[in-house]
Amino acid sequence: MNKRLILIIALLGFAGGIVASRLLVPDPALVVEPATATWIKTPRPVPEFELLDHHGQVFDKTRLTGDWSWLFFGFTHCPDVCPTTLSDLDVVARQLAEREDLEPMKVVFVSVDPERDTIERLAAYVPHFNSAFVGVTGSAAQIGQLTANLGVAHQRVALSETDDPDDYTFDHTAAVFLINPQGNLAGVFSSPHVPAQMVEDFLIISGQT
Amino acid sequence: MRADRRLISKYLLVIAASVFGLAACGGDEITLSDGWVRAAPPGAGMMAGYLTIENGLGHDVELVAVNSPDFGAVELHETIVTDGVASMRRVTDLVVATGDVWRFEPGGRHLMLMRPTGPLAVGDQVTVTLMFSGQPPLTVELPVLRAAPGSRQ
Repeated sequence: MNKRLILIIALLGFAGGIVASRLLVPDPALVVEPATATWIKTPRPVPEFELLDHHGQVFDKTRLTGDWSWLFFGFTHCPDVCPTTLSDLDVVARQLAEREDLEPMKVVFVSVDPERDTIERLAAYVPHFNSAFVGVTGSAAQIGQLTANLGVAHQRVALSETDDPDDYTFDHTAAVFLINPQGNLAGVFSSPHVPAQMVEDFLIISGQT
Repeated sequence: MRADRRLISKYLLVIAASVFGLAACGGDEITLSDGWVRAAPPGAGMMAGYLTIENGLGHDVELVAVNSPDFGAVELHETIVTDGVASMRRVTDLVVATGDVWRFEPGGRHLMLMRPTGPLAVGDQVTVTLMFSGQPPLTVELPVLRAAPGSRQ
């Protein structure tokens, strides 16, 4: 009889211990993680930099504060990856704009081809995808300040056998970088990009679910 | 004039689609389908075209040339992402093995359409001719679209 009682008490204690441990220590499975994006949980400050936007206005670090900003690095002579990504970001921007409870966000296209991508060229190119998108350029050294810090690769490569000196392309990082309203890098969205997934991951990272 | 051209293009497309449809039933043709060109901002010197090539001939063929009256030059390119870095390279192996299906899609293989001869807007058609070894030229009309067909616009 006593033995049975001890056994019951022991089992209850054991079960209670399990319940208590579940209550006290959060189950890691309950912390929602982005499905595809990399979430930088200790956001990393973006350094000071100075570039120009497609209106000819200074675009520096202060322009990356206040709102969530999506940064993509490319060049306007890029036929596949850059238009595809800007088109995907337009879908993301419009889906997020449908949510009235969310803070406004901005999308910034930073050129890695300062020779060909003048302010005028960016002004003709970037708003085609979304009138709110901002195109940004500067000298190679100015662009380098930002790309080096974010780990963005960009390398000029000759394209074909033609003698046309304009016939070159860039190998460049295809990821989209998410900067939080404090101007810190909070997430990286690697390619291939799926707009619906980017929206979900953004909401998780920005804590706006 | 432009409207006429569009109308003619539409008829050509219907005829082409019928011919391809019949060919698909016969299973002894090269089938071109799902073609489109991404609309680019005015002044863009390069655009990308996408389509699917299916070799139902029963033997291998080589894609020897691609050209378009709407562009100065057309090349076959492929986007390759290695360690997060996208690079674009010319496709050099152009043999389409029998039974193979080549899908040209954003972020992968694409027709690089260089130096447009005139402005192209959403709704326009781009004429592209593909020459395969030992085959008569195949001409398709690719619609200019804002985003991939089927994607959320």
